Amino acid sequence: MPPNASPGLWTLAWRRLKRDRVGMISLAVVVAYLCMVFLAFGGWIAKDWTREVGVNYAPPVFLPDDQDPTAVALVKPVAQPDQVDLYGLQDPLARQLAQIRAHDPVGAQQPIVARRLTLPLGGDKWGHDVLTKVIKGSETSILVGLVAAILATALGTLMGALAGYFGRWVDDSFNWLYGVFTAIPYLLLIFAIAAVLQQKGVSTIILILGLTGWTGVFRLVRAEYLKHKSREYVLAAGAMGASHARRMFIHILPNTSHVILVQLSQNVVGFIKSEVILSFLGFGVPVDVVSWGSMLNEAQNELILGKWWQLAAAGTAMAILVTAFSLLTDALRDALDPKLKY
Amino acid sequence: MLLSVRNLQIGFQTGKETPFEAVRNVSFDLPECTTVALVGESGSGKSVTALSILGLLPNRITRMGADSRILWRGKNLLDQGEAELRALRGREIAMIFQEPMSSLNPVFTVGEQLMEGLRLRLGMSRKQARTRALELLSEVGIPEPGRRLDAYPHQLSGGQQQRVMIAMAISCQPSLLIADEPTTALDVTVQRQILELIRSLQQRLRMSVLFITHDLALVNEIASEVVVMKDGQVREAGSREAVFSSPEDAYTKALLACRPPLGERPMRLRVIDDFLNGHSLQDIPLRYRGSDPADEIVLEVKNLEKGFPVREGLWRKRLFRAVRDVSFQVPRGKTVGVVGESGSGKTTLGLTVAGLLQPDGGEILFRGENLQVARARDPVGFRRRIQIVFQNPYASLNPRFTVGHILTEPLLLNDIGGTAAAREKIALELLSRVGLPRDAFMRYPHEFSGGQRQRIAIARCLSVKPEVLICDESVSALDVSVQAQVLNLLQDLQDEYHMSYVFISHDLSVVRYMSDQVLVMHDGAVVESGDADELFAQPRQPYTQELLSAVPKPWNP
Repeated sequence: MPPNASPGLWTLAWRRLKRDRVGMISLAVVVAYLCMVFLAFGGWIAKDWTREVGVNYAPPVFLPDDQDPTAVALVKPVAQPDQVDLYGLQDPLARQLAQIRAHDPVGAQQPIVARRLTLPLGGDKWGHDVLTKVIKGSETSILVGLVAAILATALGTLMGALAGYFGRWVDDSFNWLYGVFTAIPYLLLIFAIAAVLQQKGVSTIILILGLTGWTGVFRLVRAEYLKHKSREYVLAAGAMGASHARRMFIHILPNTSHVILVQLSQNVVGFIKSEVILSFLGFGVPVDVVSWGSMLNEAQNELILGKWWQLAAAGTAMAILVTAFSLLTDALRDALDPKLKY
Repeated sequence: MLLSVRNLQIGFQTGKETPFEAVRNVSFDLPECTTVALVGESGSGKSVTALSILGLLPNRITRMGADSRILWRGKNLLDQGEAELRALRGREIAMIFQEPMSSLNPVFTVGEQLMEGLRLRLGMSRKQARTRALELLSEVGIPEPGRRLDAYPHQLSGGQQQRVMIAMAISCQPSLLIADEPTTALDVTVQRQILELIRSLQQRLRMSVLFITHDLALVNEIASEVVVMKDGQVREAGSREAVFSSPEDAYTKALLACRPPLGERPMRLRVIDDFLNGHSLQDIPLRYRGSDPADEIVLEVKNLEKGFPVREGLWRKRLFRAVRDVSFQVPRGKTVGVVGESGSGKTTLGLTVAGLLQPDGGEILFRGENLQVARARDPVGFRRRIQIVFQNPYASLNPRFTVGHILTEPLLLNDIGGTAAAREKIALELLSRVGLPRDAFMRYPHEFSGGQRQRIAIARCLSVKPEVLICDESVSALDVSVQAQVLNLLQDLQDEYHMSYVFISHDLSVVRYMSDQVLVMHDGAVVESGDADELFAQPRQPYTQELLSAVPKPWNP
């Protein structure tokens, strides 16, 4: 055993991170979000976000109002059409409808449901609770952002490492691929991949973002490898008999981790935003799934009516996570730098 | 008195800790028309002292002592405002730096940069400035100054760049020129020319020079007064004669003694500790080095060729021949020294012999067997026979690995030791062999000094028990006192393990001290080779003679 075994890289990094107050607060926020995502994913919370629990556009409880916060309105789920003035015309379908109603006892006998007039963070057009909606939306958005960013960063790192390390024709071919991907306008490229995949869903978005988002990582990682491959410590490893793979991934990779980490965080933030754009363009999440993107999309129309709470809820949730995530990566980068002492 | 520094005390405040004392109670005088040398190793505070004279230290973190004074013609510079100091800088006090390439702006021509100072400070017109710039360039000895005026810095060699920096510095005819390690980045022959230039300018322009260096031999060539600094304090000050002939301070004595002498070869070099601890300083027995026909040849290089393709124009490629037709033999337990200036191909030669570059032609025979063939047959067994120690100890150790990881990795890769515990034991033994404490095992390279890192790099090579060790400028980046320790270690290891060394360096005295045979390289080819003592005593080729005469002369009363 070595005398007074001193801590390894990760222990040291953790020790340095603990000293960084901003970093620790960001870490707490990110962990809280991840717990929320985990619980929502497992179905323990926000499972019934589709239930219509409030009146249409129920305002948040904290808004100044003379109403009792627990007040409810009695609403019939399927409202009977009121008497409409037909200006003396005969309704051509009146007879058929009357027949249908006569054979449909449910519609007539459905109980009157109590709907709340206010909700913790307000309600949307259908009276969904915005709080549960935001939680469920976080699940989708964070999953999409994280998984797509990890996919894109892994792809970019692998290709960048190969191109930068081996150079010559390997580098040329990856650069051609990079050129093709960056030459096509971003949205056009996304449409193309979406058209090929022919499916709507969370996994499709992840694939689209992952397959198009690797270019930035590739460029930076390739440059790092170009710089590091002729460094003396890599040459020394070669003289010791380390294989190419060992030199690439065990010697050089940890020395480029700061670049990769920063890229990862930028990608997470960027992809959360991209998901919004995709949802807006109709390539996003399906109608039965809620995400921050789809919430912001709905908020467009609500804002005209002065119903700002859905926008505020989704926007705040997103802003807090994005800020915390960026600060955390920054702190991580510093903590993982072995040149800094403690 | 032109400049007197009194009780200079400089601390740097970073964070909340107590300030780091870079300079402590330093006093010295600089009379008019003299050259004073400020000598010290890295961290001695010599550059900080120089920068404080010009008021160039970062204000925010610098803490000056209360009774510190820098008197310029009797006026305390520390009391002056930024405007007064700016009037002084360049006009009265000029400075040149170590790296000429990074001191010149790469996007402006040499002429534009020279003229800018003239027009701003002396208010010359464009035409006047250009004429003056031409004069200055010819004054600092640049050939074809008319053409060089419109050249960009990268089109000049390192020595010419430093000449341009000097031309800029003297453009306003300052009373004081501060030269901060002006020749450290240059080859020995160029260094000699720059020294001559500074000396002649000092006499012609009747200015004073504050010459900052780590090299005592240079001081002997240029200065009349010497100030020796260590850890922010003045250890000794006096005239050149006094300091060199009868040094008072133990540290000065050590500095004078730890450079390998050109005339003789002691068994081991004296190190600073010998002097500071007052160890017995009786004569160390001399070592004999030289080749012997009966030597067993371990490594033989025959007509080695190595080139790099250089793009010329759009399509054409030309082969730049970095190593041309080099042949030599390395006997067991002996050292072959390779000397040459930058660009002579000595590093390419080292990398090719180490197997890190593929040769274009010729053969490398290891115990009579072609190394390329042998490596293909048994990659693990043959790669480890030849190891290499690089120049920069800061770049040759992976900053993300602990020292233990660095030392055990080659064992793991070469299947030595068997279990993790056994490998750890070997690594700990290696650490103690190169003189490092056991707790270094779990620490990271950045926690060590340059000399300690070079020991770690040597230990890493030793771990695979090589038969040939290539030392590529392995001690060039180290302070002289540390250099002596590492050279002693290399000698001890050679005596113990009978390793052969290929010792590559630009430093002639170090090469002579370490080598049995010496190759002199120039433009990729071997100019001259032979036994070290013979070659240094009677160089036959003009290039070797030029190299040898450029080496700064030690004190010789």
